[in-house]
Amino acid sequence: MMILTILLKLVAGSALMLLALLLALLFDGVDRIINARMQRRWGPPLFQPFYDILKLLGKENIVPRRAIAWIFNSAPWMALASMLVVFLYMPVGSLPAILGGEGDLVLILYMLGFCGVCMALGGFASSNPIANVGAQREMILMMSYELPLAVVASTMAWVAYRYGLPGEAWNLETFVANPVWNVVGKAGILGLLCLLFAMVLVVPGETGKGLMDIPEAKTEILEGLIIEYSGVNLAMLKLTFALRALAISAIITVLFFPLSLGKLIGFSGCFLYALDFLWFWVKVFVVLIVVVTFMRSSLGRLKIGQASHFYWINVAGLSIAGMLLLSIDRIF
Amino acid sequence: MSAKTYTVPIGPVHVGLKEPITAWLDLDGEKIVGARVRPGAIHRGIEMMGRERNPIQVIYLAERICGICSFSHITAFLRAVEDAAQIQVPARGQYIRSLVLELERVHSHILWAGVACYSIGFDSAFQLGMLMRERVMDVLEAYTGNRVNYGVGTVGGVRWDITPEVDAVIRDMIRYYRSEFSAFYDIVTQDPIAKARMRDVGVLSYEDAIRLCALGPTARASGVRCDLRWSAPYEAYGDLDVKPVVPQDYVGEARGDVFDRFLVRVLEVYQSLDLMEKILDGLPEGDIVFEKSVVKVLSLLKKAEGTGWGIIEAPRGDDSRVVHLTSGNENLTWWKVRAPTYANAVSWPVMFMGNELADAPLIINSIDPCISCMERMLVTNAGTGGEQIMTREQLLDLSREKTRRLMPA
Amino acid sequence: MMNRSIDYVKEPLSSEAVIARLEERLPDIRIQRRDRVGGRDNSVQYVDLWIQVEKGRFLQTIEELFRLDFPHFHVMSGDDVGDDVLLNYHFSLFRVSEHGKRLGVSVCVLVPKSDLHMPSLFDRIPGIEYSEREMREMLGVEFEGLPMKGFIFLPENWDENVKPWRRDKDGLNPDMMRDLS
Repeated sequence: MMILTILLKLVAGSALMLLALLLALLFDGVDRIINARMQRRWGPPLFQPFYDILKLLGKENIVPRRAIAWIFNSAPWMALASMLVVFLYMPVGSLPAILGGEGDLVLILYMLGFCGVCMALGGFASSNPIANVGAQREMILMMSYELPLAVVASTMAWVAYRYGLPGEAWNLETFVANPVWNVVGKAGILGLLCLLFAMVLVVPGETGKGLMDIPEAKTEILEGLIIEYSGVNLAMLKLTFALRALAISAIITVLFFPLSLGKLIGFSGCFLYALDFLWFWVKVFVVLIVVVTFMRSSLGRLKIGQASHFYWINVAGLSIAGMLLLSIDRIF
Repeated sequence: MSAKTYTVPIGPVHVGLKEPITAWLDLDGEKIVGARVRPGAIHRGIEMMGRERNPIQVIYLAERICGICSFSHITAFLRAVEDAAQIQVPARGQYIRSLVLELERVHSHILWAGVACYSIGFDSAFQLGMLMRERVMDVLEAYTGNRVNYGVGTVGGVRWDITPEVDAVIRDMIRYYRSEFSAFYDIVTQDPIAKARMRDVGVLSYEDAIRLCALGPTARASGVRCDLRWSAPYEAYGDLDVKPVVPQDYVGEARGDVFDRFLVRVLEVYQSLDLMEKILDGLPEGDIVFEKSVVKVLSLLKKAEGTGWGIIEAPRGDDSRVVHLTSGNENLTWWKVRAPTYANAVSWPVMFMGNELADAPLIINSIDPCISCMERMLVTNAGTGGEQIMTREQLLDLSREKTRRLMPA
Repeated sequence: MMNRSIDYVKEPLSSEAVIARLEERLPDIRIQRRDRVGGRDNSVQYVDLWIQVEKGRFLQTIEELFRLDFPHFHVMSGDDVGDDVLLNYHFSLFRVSEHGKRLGVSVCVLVPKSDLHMPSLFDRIPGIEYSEREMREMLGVEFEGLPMKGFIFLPENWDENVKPWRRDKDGLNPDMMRDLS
């Protein structure tokens, strides 16, 4: 029985990770087309990211002479693995997370951070001064957006705990089963909106696009920390970037938009799971288009100093305001 | 704690730069504490080539110095030749020259505005700039048949007349830009990120602008009220009442940063549109060239003796040509090409100081550099260790050999 | 850097006044005045002055220009004219003053090949740097006081003894010229 569960989880986990990979690339293709249309261009074919990855997989890996080869080569794989693992702890629609009992929101945030650290390590290990600059920027950027991110996550957990939502406070399934919007009062709604907005502003930093395209700014530091990467390693990094955008959108969806379409129209059993499974990815897709594509098309890039100031003061302020509003809502 | 600096090269080939130039930046963290600029990657010996060509041939050589301000280069050259040989251009020819110069200014400034946005990662605005400049290029094509090197100038005037159809196309374009170009005006005046990236970045003070002999929009952004169209009116500009665009007249003060350079260029586009309208309204009747027969012009130029200096306000600043003709020699004895970037590039090290690495490409771009203009010997590196100068014949042989290899037997 | 007040003159002198003043102060220079005409009625739009000066009087001439206005430096042109190298310094006076009042001033100096040295103007006008470096590598004129000696336009592996614009044995020889055509 035990072995069977493990086997089932293995199969389901692999399938989900593969699906996440494919969807991440597909959404990346859509993102590129919508971005192009917003710039009055035609844009690439929908499957261009797939072609890119396939082509890169067939290319040679070039390791700079002075690079620390083992770190340089393992960093993209570690980064990719950490991003894939995130989906094992993510409830998809009405289906519980595959490893739901083993890890929670804290682990997911840790994995997101770990992924950034891996990429920065790869940049440092490449011995290129420009990659070095890019890696420094990545670290600074991470330290900057982690504060608002942590405030948002802990406030959500606090809400789950104080409002007495059934289930563990840090577990994502708690939020899926009981949408937070239904339990809080008026001030709480405002607080949640603050948290949502802060979370949305963290996305450019997390995905390194648009406003926060700082560690890979091509017109400044020539793609920065990935400058020395090529071939399979680069393919892994490209997948990681696409997965990061998907993962952060999925987290926003789970925390703030847990509405189940199946339950709304009264489905149950297999139909409920199937419909909500699809519905979940539709929601993630919409969130991704709004928070990633629209934001990157309409804004220029900040400098690293301005970016940390933005996260430490503005976005952190917003998230703390959300926290206070929710506390007020609970106490009064 | 002593600061440890390291050196990062920007260029010679860099995504953010349109042309090859190298800036070695000494960095302390992200802060630039030292800068050295090394041009020379694209010096083609155009001044040497000119010595083997007659003035009419040099027109087409001069036009190929640069792709954006090709007409500015030839106008400056033609004015130098006309100065040396005492040739008078008919009024209609002068007006048409001014018109094409203004079209070119609009082209250059729109392209620049797009590239500046690209430098700060604002790709949507970059795409918009690329899209918008198509219109002026179409207009130039409608008039001259070419989009980049128009081949429209000649000694003593221009080669094509402005027909009513061309007039209508230009007026149409003016209307289009008056309504559409506001996107860039909005970026300068409203976009908070553009402001955050450009305000107080790459500052060139008023005194430095004078000392380092800065020109054009770069100098004007530092508050120097200079514009050759106003201070030394050439061609039709004497009749047109041009006022130099300086930021202190519009926003109260000139800080001499990238933001002010953006502002000056955006405002100059509107100024150019007004000027074009004035030129079209006041286009005098008459000949467009003082002598239609090229043979006669050449024989006249062969007899001419003297040095001429032509100087005009190109989109990037003033463009100087000095030409020497010797009686009995049909070719130029010598000539000197001085494009605006040549003068403005001296200011780069001053602008870099104290800024961040992230600002470097933006600062380089902020003077609207045209490296091809500034440099004028093709040396190729054989790529296998030692450097070797390839002759044209060798290159031709190499390319033929490669073609043979690629072709199935 | 010399301690001068850096600003442009706002009230310009007429070209006649400038010529009179220069001729009075520097009796042995030759000034040629060129009216540049333009516009619908072919009227004089601005004036260029061409000044020929002995090498020994060069710095004094520049000092005189400084008394009139901060001379905006455009470019230096030059040629090999047999026993001498000709250098033309092109300046503007009254660049920001009034409509049509800018005065183009070209100062032409012959530098004998026996003594190819000129005083550098770099300390007075830092913007002259590229031109002086260019003339040094292209024509072989040494500028005393110019701190930067590296190539500016020529490639790093260029033979320092070949001066491309010279028309004598120091210039390009015919087999180097083939690359340029």
